[in-house]
Amino acid sequence: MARYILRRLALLPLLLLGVSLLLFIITHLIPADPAKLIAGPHAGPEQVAEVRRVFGLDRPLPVQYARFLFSLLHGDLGMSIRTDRAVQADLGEYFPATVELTVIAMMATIVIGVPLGIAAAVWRGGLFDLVAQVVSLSGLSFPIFFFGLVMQLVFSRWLDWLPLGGRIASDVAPPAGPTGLYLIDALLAGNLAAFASALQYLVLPALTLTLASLALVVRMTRSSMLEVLSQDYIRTAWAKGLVAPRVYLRHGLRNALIPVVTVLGLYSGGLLGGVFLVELIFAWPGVGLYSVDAILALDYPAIMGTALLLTVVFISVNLFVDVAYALLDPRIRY
Amino acid sequence: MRSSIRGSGISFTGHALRFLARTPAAWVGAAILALLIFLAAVGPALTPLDPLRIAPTQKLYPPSRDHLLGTDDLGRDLLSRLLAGARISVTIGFLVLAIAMGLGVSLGLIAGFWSGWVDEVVMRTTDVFLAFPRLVLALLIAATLGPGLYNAMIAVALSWWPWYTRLVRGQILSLRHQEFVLAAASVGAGPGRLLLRHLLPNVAATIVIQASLDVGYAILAAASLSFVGLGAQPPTPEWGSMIAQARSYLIDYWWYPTFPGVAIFLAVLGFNLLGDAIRDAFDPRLRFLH
Amino acid sequence: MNDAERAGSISRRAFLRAVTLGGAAMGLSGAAIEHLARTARVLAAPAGKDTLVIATDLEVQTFDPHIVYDNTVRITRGTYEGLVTLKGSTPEIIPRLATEWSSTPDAKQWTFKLRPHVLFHDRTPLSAEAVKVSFDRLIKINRGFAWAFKTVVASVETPDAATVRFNLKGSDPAFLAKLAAVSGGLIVSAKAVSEHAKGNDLAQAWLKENIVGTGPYVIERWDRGQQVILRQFPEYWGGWKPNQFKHIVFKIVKETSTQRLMLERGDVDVATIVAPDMIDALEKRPGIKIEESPTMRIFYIAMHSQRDPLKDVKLRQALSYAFDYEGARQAIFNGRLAPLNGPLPDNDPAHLSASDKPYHFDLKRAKELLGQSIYPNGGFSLSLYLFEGDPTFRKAAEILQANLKELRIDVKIQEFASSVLLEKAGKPETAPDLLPVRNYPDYADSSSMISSTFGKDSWGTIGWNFSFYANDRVEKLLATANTTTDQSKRLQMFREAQRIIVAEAPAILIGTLLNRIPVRANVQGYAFNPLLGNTLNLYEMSKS
Repeated sequence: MARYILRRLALLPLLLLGVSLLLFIITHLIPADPAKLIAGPHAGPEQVAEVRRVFGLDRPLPVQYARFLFSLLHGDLGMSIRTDRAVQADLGEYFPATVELTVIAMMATIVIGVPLGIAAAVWRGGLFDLVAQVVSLSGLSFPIFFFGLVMQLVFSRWLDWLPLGGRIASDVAPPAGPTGLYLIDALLAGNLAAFASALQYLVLPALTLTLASLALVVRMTRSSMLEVLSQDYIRTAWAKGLVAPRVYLRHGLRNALIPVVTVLGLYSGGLLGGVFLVELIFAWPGVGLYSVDAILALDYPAIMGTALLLTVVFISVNLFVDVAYALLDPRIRY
Repeated sequence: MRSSIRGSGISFTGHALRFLARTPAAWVGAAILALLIFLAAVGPALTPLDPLRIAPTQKLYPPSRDHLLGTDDLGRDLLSRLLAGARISVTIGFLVLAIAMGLGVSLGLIAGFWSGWVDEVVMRTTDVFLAFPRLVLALLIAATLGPGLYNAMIAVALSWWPWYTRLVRGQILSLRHQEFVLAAASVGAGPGRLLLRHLLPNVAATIVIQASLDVGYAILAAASLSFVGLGAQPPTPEWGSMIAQARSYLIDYWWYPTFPGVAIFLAVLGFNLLGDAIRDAFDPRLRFLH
Repeated sequence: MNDAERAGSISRRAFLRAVTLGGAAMGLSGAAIEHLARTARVLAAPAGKDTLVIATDLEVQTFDPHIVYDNTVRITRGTYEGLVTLKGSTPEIIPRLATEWSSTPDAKQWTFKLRPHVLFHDRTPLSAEAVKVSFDRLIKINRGFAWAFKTVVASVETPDAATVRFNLKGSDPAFLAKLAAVSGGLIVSAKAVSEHAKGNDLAQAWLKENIVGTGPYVIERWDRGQQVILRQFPEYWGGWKPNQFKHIVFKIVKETSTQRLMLERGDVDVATIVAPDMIDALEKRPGIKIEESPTMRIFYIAMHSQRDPLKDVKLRQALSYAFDYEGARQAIFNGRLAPLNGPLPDNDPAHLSASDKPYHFDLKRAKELLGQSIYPNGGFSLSLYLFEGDPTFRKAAEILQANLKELRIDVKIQEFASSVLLEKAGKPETAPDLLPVRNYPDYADSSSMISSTFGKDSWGTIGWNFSFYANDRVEKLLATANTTTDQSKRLQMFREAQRIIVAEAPAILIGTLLNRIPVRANVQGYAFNPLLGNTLNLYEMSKS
């Protein structure tokens, strides 16, 4: 177990090197002149040449890559072309919003999805199961961007319950705090108004993200629960005369959680992808919104920085999930 | 040896197909897909009006007898555009899969067959690709290639292939030391013959099952790129780009973004229903992969 | 059971417990959420009468008045002021920080008397020195609007603390108009510049996030990507009336439909990127009115006149006849579009009349002209780039595309984000054949629009000439007009230049935009700057 984790950790730098190389190649194939983009419209040829020199864009590509790696090791992701600011400073501002949104959505997905999946498995073939199956398949087939629009229409426009977009009301000062997560910072500061406002703005995007990924978790839980329920030891438990809830919870759920944890790893990738579209629709100031803007503007330092960050998160979550998996199921040997 | 494997395969296939035929979801999915593919094949001939014909004075008409699904913001007939879009979406789904599978399966075969450094290089490359959230990578590649429908398809496919590589490599690893392979090798079959005649047919079922689940997602991913503006370009009636153009109209002219949304939903649902059923029928254990 | 297994099973139990606890916590907070949401509804009630909330799609990089040359002026115009400004939505020049001015008859020397008792936000008084420092800084940084002054201003003198004199390199009858431009010569506190300068940066790093002007508002907060909040500057020289806004909030919302719903809900008072189709739907809603005012912004499709195939003037003329102008006016703007008969809009004194522009939608005539071109039967394709997400450009492009199909010309459309598009369209080699675009004069003088849209020195993004058009006669007329002080003679030269341009058809001239935006009905006092869209006179506005 420890050896497996060590091996994974040892491979991590190599993986990140590969990721940075791939990113570097992709961003340097971009069919636009970065020097011109940096210099901006109205810049004359001398200004562009100056930018090229200052940013080292006149050097050969391997040199540029080496310089990029060198500054990366010093925690420097370069200057964003679009915002004219250090990329790490930008990310520091946008990333907490994404963390807040995804973590809440992920928690909600588990809290809602796992019980639904179990219920569907327990009453397999029943009406509830059918409904859960239909709903979850529909959830998987719905384009999340269209779903977000419908949510806005229903909850903001028709019911007028929730705000449409943004992260906090404009007349509420965002809580300043150590985490950058508004909910936590507001609680730490004892600022209930800010907490309430932040929560209100969080609900719709989080709900959209949740419903889009709920389907996956319900299906996973259901099928793994079914698998477990057909195992011998469950039948033994029945035979021992244990009452139903105890059988399901103690023996069934414990083992059923294993694939659920696995799917969270896979799903964190899907979530990080879906979060782009959700942030775009709900004007949520997170890295998704930031990087869509960066991608469309071919702001390559920002693209590299964001993609690197997301990739590191994705890899770490997957590593964590693998470890959790190993801990949950002693049968697994690496 | 080989024939015995094939033999059991046929009876298993027969069993699976019988199982499939008893699944109502499979029928619903198949029906949706049959309709979709029919529309893709003959849809353009069925369109009541030219999907590109502009009529400024008839813009944003609600559904009526003349325009069953209403008109868009340039007075084009939405039903005609949706029908024309069916062909585009089906093409996207299959073409993306074809590219991803072509690349992924061949690399998987190679990596699984020649272990050692070839395997190491291929698998570490897949690691790098898999380290990205899929849509993020697709967005990046699409932006690099420049906006356009074909570029979007290539982008989605390039973010997709490693899954096939992994799947195929795993299968090959477990198959290549089986007796029928060893026997074929001992009578002088070269690597190419071994791979194509003996190994590939045995992993084909797995690939097809995986693919049947992926077509729908490929359509969704391409539509997402179009939604962000990196996919189909005007006036192409691609469903995702239609929603992107129509999204600000949802409140006042609900039909304009809703029908393309429903179209995507149904198409993807059809692929999901059938893919699900096929997977369950052929290999109940595979369900953990998704 | 070895140690690892034991650890595993303990963790499993702990994990289970955590999940159960988490569920309970979520269940608990379910009730709490409802309660809090109710509290927040009250808290997040529409902004009060003393606050104006504007939804905008701004992308603020810097507030530096000598660098900002984009939509950020919508904010900086509320915080910085120039010597002169435009009156409401007209091209008429009125005093601002200068109370009076005079020029020598040859328009080579301009003298301004400064307004007394004006304070900067750092409480230093306005002085001639600050004006000199500001202009020197603008020219030295050499970004933004510097080009308009760099080649013109020889020196800035300060005869006394309340007088500024500009010595120009040559005659410039448009100098005053340049000072009144949206980002023309805004004055910054000299003390702030010297105090916050780091090395040679002329305080660029500091002024990026800080504002020290003389305007009615100061910056209170800037939450990147979210909002910019301005607050009253109590010592503003214009004084304050009780109904003027104490706070101005620029909320950054990029989604059109989100802006629109926020307006309907009363979360914002002004929505600025709502598409024309949506504006007409909004007109019927209670509590919302549509503010409309004329602008000098023109809407057209530039045709690349230096490259095959549109190098052929017959082809450009054919395209000008092949465009369905009236259909476009209806489909794109629902009829709310002012005419455009030449490069200059109707509110410019040198504008042409309808009889000067021959082009109208006439496919027969278009086919005739096509027949006289190098491709008499069509059968070629033209590239067209689109600014991403703007429905007016997209519709114009799709209408042209459909119209040109009749001539067997295939238009290939590609959408790009604006920075990328401008990079590509910036030089003739990579520019598209066709580019739907808007342009406004950099300053309210007839010369500005003509030379920036069709002048030889304005190719691509250096000016805004995406037709890459150049005509020696036009250049000569413009050069002469730029040193002529007799206004009626100038107008004649501008008209002649325009007639040449119209005949050579470097662009499909579609119309002059109206500034139409939906606002809450209780907000009053709108006047838009005629040059840059959606630029409001924040100081004169109020809510009832």
